[in-house]
Amino acid sequence: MNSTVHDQHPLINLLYYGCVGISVMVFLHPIFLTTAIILLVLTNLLHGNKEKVKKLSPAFIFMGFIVIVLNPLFVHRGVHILFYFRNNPITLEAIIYGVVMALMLVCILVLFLSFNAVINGRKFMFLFSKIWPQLGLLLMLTIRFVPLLLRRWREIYEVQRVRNYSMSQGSVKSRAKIGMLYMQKLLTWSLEEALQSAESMKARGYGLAKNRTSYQVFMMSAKDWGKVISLLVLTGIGIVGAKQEHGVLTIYPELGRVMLTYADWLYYGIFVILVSLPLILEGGEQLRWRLSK
Amino acid sequence: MAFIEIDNVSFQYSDASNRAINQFSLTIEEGEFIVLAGPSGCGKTTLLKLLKKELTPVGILSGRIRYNDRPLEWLEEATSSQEIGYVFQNPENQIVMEDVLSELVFGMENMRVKPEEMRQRVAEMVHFFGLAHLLHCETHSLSGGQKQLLNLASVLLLKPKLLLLDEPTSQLDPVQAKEFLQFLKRLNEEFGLTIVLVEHRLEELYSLADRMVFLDEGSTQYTGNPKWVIQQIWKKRDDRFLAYLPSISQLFFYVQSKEVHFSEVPITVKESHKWLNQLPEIDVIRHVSPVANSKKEIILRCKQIHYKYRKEGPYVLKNLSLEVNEGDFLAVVGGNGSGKSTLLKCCANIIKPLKGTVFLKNNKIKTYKNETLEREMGYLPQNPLLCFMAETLEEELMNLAQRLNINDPRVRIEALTKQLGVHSILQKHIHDCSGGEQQKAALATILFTNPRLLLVDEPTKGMDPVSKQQFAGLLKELHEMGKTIMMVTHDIEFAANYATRCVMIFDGMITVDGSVGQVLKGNYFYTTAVNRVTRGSKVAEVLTLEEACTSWRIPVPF
Repeated sequence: MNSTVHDQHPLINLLYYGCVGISVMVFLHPIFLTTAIILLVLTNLLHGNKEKVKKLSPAFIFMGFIVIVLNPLFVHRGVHILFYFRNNPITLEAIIYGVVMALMLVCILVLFLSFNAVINGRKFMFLFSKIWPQLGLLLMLTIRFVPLLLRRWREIYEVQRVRNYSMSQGSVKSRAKIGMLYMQKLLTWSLEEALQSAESMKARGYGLAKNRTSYQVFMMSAKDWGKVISLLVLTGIGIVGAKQEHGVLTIYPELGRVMLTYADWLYYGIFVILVSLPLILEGGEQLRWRLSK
Repeated sequence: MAFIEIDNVSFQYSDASNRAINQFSLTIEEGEFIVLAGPSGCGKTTLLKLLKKELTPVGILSGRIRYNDRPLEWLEEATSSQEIGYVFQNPENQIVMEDVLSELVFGMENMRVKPEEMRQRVAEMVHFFGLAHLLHCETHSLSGGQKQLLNLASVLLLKPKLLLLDEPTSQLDPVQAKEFLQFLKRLNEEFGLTIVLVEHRLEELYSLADRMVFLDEGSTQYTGNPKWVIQQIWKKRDDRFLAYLPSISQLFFYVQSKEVHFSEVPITVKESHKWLNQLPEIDVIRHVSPVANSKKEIILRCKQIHYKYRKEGPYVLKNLSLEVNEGDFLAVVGGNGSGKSTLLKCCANIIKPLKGTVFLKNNKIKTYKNETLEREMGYLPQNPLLCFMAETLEEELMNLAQRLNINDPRVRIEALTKQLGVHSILQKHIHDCSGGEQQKAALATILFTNPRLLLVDEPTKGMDPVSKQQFAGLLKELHEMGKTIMMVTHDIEFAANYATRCVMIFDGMITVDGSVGQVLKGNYFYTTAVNRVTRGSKVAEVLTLEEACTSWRIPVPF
């Protein structure tokens, strides 16, 4: 996908996710979090991650729902008692707290979805090779291995199923046994093939030098430094504000006002700017393109 | 001075009882293109690995290998991994990175090449290989041929002086294989790269190679100019290597009984044309072909089936209808991605067509239970190892017997394995068997239930010519015993020699259907070398060597 995120230094991508992650965790307010979710979903769509969002959103909503239901069942703090469930009070505060936690959870998950799409293998390697080069490569190999195993599993399954050797029938015990056999087969086969990969790596001189060079060199431009500063400043202001209870909904012991005060609106603005930074940058790019024509 | 000198080298694996390489000597000059050939297990790969220091297996080595006038073991590791490039057999397993660009630069990054220089080399190489449009693709989405080109490019980026290739085209279809070999030829001719290639499919290599080396049991049997080697093997009627000879040269020897200089042996279609045009007319013996039996029973019928793998993707099979009659030996041919294997999987009830139905003996295939289906038909996948859940053939067959309640399994195993010639590997670990043995063992597991219909997917992939002949003989025997066989193959020569009926798939549909002769003789490209030679010449058009032998009245030498 051609978008401005890929023109930036990977460090900025990483910093953005870090800053948004922190901000989302400090501004525990339904309005803030709902806005963040909407903006992050838009960011995902912008980066061409529509398929994944579509596929995973039911799971995310379900997870959020579970949090909303479970919190009031286990936590009985708060003063507004709505009703009793099996002699336990269900309070409004606990429900609202559940909602806020659920929103935060969904927010973080959507953030990760975007992270996965933007920080691709090469960027990941670049970021990690500075800290721990061997680990970076190992992770890359592992990441490649997972889809490979899945494809092989499917191949084995297809052939063995028609030979009446599948896990979808029979007693639990026999199914488990067949499953283990499948696993064994998959692993022997994969190890056999992995030996060849190892040879091919060795043949191309892997492990001769301690430090590998990197083909892709990302340079921090002046603009990139500007982005770093703005990200840090916005997050810094946010954290200070949240410390002073701005943009945070007071829930326990008694639910506070849900509506935002003037100071809250100020922090809301800062928060929105921070989260929608990729959208703003992309929009700016589009605008420049339009104007230049 | 010679570039590489292999002097009286012997090698024995530490766990083996006899030598893999036995007193082998060879001198390679800079810029030579050498092809090593021989049956599986003759020590070709071992020899190649001895030339690449990092890959040298554990064992006892005697004799000397000199590289650039210095013993190979003196060579520094960094120099060795740059100057000696190695491309492996399996395109998939050599790739370690997720996307094409990372894979290309993997070797250079290991060698600590500076980023600026890497960029320059990549830019050049990508252009040469035409990989630019694939640069940011994920590696697993490439075709086998593209993967192998990527592997070659990745090795070449290290600027090697010697390129070693271990059966690089065995997993590719003929078109991709040809393309790959053309690249090698260019590298050899335009850059003077020294190439040592190990290969089974030699038909095209005779015209590319400077020198051929035939190995058996670890020592040289024939070495020299390709044409000379061909003549020598033919003269001695050497059974070990006869199957390796190109069919057009064999045709030449059949017709030309007079002694000729080896340089006159034709190895390309062009040379054969020239030779055929000088020949006097050859009479044709007319064989009265037996009248085809009236109406045979239809055993398998696909009725307007459609299939696609992804929702947004194109249809792989489109409105395809096919009838397989009892007693057919049907070859399904077609280009890469034309849907051949998909069709076979639909017939084997592995995937279900989106529209349309497959009938087995007039009943919908969906209605069969797996147990009954297995007695009706057997599916042999491309990778024979998929047929094995157990570690040995014997164990697998015993499990199968238990699962399907077959009486007297011992007796059946005994008879079946003797028939297929796999009795000796019953207790061998299946991963330790050679490709040909694995394929036959897999066939044994399929035939165990005695199905009437066999579905075979690319059986000859990666097999050496002798194993191929043996396997073909087996299939032919089974066909004569009354089995119906449906085979997907890229190997036109194989289909022409053994199948009775042939269909060609193009664009998800069956475009031609008929006897092998009818289908292939009309084609310009998708046909055998012998057919390309004889078409439009003074002699009668034939498809295979065998046909030429039986239908041409070979003139008495003049």
